[in-house]
Amino acid sequence: MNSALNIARVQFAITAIFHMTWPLLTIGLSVFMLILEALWLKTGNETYYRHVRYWSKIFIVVFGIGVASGIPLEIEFGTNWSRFATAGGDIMGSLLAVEASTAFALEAAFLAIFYFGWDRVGRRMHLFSNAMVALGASLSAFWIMSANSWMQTPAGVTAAGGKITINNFAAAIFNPDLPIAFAHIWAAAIETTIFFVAGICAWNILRNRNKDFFLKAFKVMVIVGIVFTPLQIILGDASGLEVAKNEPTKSAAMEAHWDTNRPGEGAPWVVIAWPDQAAQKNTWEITISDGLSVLNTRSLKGQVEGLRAFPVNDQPPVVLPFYAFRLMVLLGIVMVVLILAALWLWIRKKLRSETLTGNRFFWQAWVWAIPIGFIATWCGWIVREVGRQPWVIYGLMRTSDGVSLNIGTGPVIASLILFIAVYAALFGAFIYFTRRTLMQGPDLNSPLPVQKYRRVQVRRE
Amino acid sequence: MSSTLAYIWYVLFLIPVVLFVILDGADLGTGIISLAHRGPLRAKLIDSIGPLWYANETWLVIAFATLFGAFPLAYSLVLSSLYIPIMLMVFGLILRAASTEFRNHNAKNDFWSSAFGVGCLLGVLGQGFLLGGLLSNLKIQNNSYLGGIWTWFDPASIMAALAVVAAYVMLGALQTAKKQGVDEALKMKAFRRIIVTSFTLFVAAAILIAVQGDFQTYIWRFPHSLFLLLFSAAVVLGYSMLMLASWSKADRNVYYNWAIVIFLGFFGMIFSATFPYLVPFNISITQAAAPQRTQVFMLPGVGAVLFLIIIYNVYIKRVFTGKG
Repeated sequence: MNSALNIARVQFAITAIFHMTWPLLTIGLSVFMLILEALWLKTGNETYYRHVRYWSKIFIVVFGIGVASGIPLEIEFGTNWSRFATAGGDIMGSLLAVEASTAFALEAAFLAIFYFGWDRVGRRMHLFSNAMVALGASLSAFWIMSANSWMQTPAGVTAAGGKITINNFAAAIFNPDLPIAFAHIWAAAIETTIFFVAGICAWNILRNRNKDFFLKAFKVMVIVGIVFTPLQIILGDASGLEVAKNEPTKSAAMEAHWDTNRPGEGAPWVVIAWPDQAAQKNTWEITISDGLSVLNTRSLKGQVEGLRAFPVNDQPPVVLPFYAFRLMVLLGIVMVVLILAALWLWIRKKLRSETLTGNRFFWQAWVWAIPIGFIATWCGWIVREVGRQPWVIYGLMRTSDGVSLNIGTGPVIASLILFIAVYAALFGAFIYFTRRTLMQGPDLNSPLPVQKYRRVQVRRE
Repeated sequence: MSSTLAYIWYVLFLIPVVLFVILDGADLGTGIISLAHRGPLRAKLIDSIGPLWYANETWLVIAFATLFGAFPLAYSLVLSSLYIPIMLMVFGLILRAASTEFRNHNAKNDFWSSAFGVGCLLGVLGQGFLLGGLLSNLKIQNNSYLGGIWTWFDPASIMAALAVVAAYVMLGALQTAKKQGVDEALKMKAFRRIIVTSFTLFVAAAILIAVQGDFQTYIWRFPHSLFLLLFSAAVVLGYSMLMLASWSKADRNVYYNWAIVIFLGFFGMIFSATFPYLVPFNISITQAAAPQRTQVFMLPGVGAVLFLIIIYNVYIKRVFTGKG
């Protein structure tokens, strides 16, 4: 039974991590393209239009992979987690249904006009479609985060006899974790896209390909980054505070904090350590005194409950959340540094096409930074989901009580292998296509779309 | 618990299912046909499907989400007891998506074209086994599933899967015929063979399903028997009209419309033979329904938006075809 549980968890983890990679880009790129298209209509500068067309080519592939890889997640609630789906279905199912019909369908439907309709609809209608794609993508994230954060801080329900009943929908949707969780993931999508787009720009600048064209987008990304990279650190800190308040076990696990600090003493912040779950302590550690008290209680001597305060079978694994959290924070800081470096060059007037070539290392660093936002977000999800264990719905339902009983390990391993195979193909398609798009470069010459609505005549026999 | 609301949700669940089956069925069917051809003709067949595959899958996502939200008990029981068909379907659809991405971007080689066809075939087989399994009286007692992982695999579900494959192939052939430029793919003789095969398999599957377990007695009860008779008549009429049309020089749209009649007839038959059960003869629509509070909550979101999306899709069709 235990191995069936674990393999179901591995399958969900792999499919979830693979899937959530793509919405990061669809959310970010859709907002980015909306800004660019609005700039085009406002300034009449053709470069903005060319940029929308260029990035929309990547967007459509990413969207497709997102749809294809999203279906298994939806299915797995029923196939592998049927007891969870039965018990928590009233809230999880309804939120997913509202997400699919109001947000996802909106995005998918308007995408047709956005991508294929340049010559078919007027410019305002096109901009509107672009806005609907962006709205759909972000709204989708809102509903999904609502469902997921409800699993972290289940509110508005009463649990009795293995069935969770809703008595307040507003409280369930706007559960304590939602505001900060949604803000954090939305900012993560923007941040990931900044580094994805700016990295591709840097790749082109390094190779002297359409330098001016890509420099323009790079600068837009730097401006957005000035706001979002520091903002994300503030949001992350606020998120940590919320977790400390509502999910003390997750908070203690991600900080490898074992012993509750005594009154009058501050809890130290563990910079790095080797946590030993069996011994319920860190084998070795480097700490900053009073650090955790400041982070979690905003006071030097505030009390922070350690993991030992909870029964062992209520504790999440420590090593994975602990290291994933540290990697995420580190990458968040690296992102700020990269933006500051770009800003420094900009101020010193080095971000001009004549002076670009002298800073190869700078541009190379931005190319290397392309995956950085994705990795940081994966880490964040690992902290969030592993840190919630052993619960599937925090405090209400254990993960081991949510798994389907009738499916052994064999079928799940088989389906997992198949998923990995098709996901590898999807990922290959993405790499293949992105590489081709990079090699081709932007289309700078095709005629602009026609201005007025023109009904296309189709010959009928 | 208000049963009216549960029936409204039953309809709201069926709408995306029907739309998915009819819209995507034609594309999947064309993909299966492409397996029987090689080289440029195969490429041409697949190209005729068009780039909007995800638009159809939107309906599948909505259908699953609606089932999960409105009927969580049925969702978890059906999906966990039919694990293999579900996973087969999902795997097939993702394989199709991956190969479409490759093909759309100029990797029109035989490998990805074959992968496309295989993806379509597996996706449809999964759907067929799903239907067959669902109609083969899942062993459910006290809201839990007692069967094994392969319990659904029996002659009835195999026949149902074959019938679904044949029906999708027929739909795909008709869609291909409706679109221009692929006429050579659809010689009338081959076409008639497809219709006859589809009809034969349909009859065989219907008989195999009808003779098992509770169906034997249930389908003879009034008014189930009456509705079943009417919908079967519609299906038979559809097939006959297709055969007649294949001898005359009828407008291609006529073929396609009769195929739609056949598919709606299928759904009508399943509906008549199982109503008011959601999971046949185990869990009724009202038993499976989420509490009223949940159903009411979702109604503006899903119910209203569903119709807006349908209107919007009609608008899209007009924008892109210039018709109307």
